[in-house]
Amino acid sequence: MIGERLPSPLSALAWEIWRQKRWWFCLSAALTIAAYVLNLCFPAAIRYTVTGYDRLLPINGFMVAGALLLIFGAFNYTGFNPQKEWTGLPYHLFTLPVKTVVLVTVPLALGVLAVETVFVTWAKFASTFHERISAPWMAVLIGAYMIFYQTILWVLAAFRSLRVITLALTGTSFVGVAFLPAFGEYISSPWLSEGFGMAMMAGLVVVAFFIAWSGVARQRFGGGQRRNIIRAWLDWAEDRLPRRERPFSSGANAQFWFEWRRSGRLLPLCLAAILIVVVLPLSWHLRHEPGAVVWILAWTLATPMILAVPIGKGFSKPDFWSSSLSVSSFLATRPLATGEWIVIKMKVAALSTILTWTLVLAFLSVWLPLWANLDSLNSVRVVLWMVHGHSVYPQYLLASFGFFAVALITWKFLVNGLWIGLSGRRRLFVGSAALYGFICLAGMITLTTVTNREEGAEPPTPYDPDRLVATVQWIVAGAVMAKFGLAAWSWRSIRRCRVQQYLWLWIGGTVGLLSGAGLIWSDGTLSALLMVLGFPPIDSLRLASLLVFSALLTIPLARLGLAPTALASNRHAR
Amino acid sequence: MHKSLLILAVLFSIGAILLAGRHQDFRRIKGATNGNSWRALSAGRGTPTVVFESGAGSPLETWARIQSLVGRFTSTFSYDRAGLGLSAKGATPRDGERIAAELHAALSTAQVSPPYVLVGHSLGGPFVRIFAGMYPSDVAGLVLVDPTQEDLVEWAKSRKTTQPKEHPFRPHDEVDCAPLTFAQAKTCRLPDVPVTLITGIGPREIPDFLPASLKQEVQRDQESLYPAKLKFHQRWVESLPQGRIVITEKSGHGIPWEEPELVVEVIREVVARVRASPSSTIRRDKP
Repeated sequence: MIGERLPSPLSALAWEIWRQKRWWFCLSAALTIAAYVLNLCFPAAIRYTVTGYDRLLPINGFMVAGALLLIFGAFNYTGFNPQKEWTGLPYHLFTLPVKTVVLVTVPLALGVLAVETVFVTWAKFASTFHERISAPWMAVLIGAYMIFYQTILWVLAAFRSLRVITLALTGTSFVGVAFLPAFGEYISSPWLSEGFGMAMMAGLVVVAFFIAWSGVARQRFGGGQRRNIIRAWLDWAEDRLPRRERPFSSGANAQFWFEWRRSGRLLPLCLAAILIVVVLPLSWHLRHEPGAVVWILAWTLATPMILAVPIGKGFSKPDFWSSSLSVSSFLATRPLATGEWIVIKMKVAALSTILTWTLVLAFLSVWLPLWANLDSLNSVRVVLWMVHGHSVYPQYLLASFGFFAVALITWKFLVNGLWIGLSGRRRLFVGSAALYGFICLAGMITLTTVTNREEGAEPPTPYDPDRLVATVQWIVAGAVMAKFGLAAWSWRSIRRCRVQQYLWLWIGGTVGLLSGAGLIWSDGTLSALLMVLGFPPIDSLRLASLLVFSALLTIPLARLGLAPTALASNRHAR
Repeated sequence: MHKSLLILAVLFSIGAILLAGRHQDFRRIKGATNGNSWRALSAGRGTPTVVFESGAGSPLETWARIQSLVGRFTSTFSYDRAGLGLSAKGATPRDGERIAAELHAALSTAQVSPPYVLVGHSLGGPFVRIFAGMYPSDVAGLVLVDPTQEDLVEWAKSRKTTQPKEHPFRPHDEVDCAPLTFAQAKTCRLPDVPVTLITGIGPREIPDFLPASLKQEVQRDQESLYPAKLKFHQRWVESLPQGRIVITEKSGHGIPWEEPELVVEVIREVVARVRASPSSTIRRDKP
């Protein structure tokens, strides 16, 4: 571009967005075209019938979500400001000879235009039958969310990664709002009409625009008196908290404290926020719904594990809050052996896990006896009571084993990627994150396809889950062999006493998990539960071997052995 | 390589290969009516063959805790009826005679030779009674595990104050076809073979975690339904020359899950009686 003259600052802005995120746009377009071609491959009998549409819905649904998410990713139009230590609207744009209103309007307008283009293209596949949400209403919501999304990214610049929580909460609220007009079919209220919803959204969009404009304007002019009022308040609150004044007894203790303050407490804090903001009000609101308790319980139990995956990615880095993967001088010169550093990270992860699950337990012990409708949960308990010779104690034992297992899985997600994050290799780090994302997406597509298949038109011969389970059985057996083979290699250069210490822990934990697996499988408990919960029957011997393999795979072993070497090479690379 | 971990790796790899190959020996049997296949499970050796028939809507997993134990002393056969579990849909209506005919065809396709000791739970009870009436020479004994008795159903209907919700007759639904099945069961004539009926009138203790409404329902059942059930079961068994009733207060209707060992013991006893009977050898030779 040197020597060339750009037509206008406005074009420069548009060009920069395109230039930075062109691959995201191309990928979104490619996904749309691929879906179009894929849909064309199916005969008209499938594409233009309700049952056929139902079968294609999971594939189309996930592809449209992917295409839209890519557009939202492309309009994550932010840059890191090292002076202010925030990630807001790219600060180099502040020097462009354009007014702030233009600086804000262009990305917002382009974002809305891009997301609406993708949506309109997709509407052909995704909204043909059973429209619970009409296409115009959906278009308004998607456009509005793009405005909210960019506003949150720019205005809450100082919160950096934590903005994801605000974005997720806003997104979840939008999903709820999307269904409001559908409730209007059952409840006669002018508040539940699409017209009112659109007017409300238009008003909120205008408010969001002004917030974005004023926020960016403040940042552009160097902040101002109220620039960091929330941060200042948080700092003030943190200063009032009791703080450590005693000297640390050892370098290891100091490092433990440091790791805990930087990253360890994040998981329990996030979980507490979700429990208070989402789960608690939801559980109260749905307290009379018998079926809701199972779903709320399942999500409450899954949330720590789900949170542990992204937090674990950050936790695996030398510094959670730094975008750099290399070990800073501050950390590299600590009087600590590399192996000891890894042990400290593992201990911090363990404390984080224990605290997180204590919070879950505390919530459950208040919610379940006080305001949960336990009818549907009790129907499962009755089955267990019948199977276990009319005793309730095996249920409590099963619940304890279940808690032990999910806590271990949470811990695993926190420490499993240490060897990647501490290695300092960005490609490996990004690649592993992409792999996680891909596995999650593929899993969700498979699950939805299978579920949809059950609900859709039944084939003449029922789907045989044993075939799938047999394949999974061999894949998991391969994973077990790979795990122990790799462990024998990865722990070769680690001190004998450390290997022994960890191996005893591993054996203890695994024996506990195997006992739980035995308890859930014995006496046909699992078969009975599958029957009661309406799952298709599965070969009980295959289930037993899967449970054993899962127990062997739960507690990390092989990849942990790679972490000290990875950290050592990163630490001494400078 | 770390030596101890290498040994562990070798051991776990052998274990993983052995475990990955473990599975139950399910068979796919071609159905007689429309060529679709059914899922079946055979275990054990010896005669007579114990054939299991589950209750309404239940797959063969109902017998998960029983079949392996019975398989230790004789041959066994369980299957998913058409349209249940992992079996394909069958012809309609799903009444007792059709189900008995399909079971008979399935047994001969699977080359499971008579004599059979038929074990039926709940609605499986009338099904095996109809089978015994239709193929008397193939049947050497019956074990009815808390069977649904047509007289009890009539009695319960007559006592109902509220009318159940009407819905159009679904010929593919065994429960909708149950009145047909009961009528067929009532008219069929059983062969003179050992018949043991297990009736569940318990459990007396009601778990604390049950909601109050359900507790009241269970108490009502214990006060009125169970005595009536016992009366009808006893009356029916007394009408059979080799009939016997086993009353359990430890289980309700879910005996296969609550007291599998009792079911196994009763089957063992019936099998022993069949083996002791001289006529069983004659039946065994029949195709």
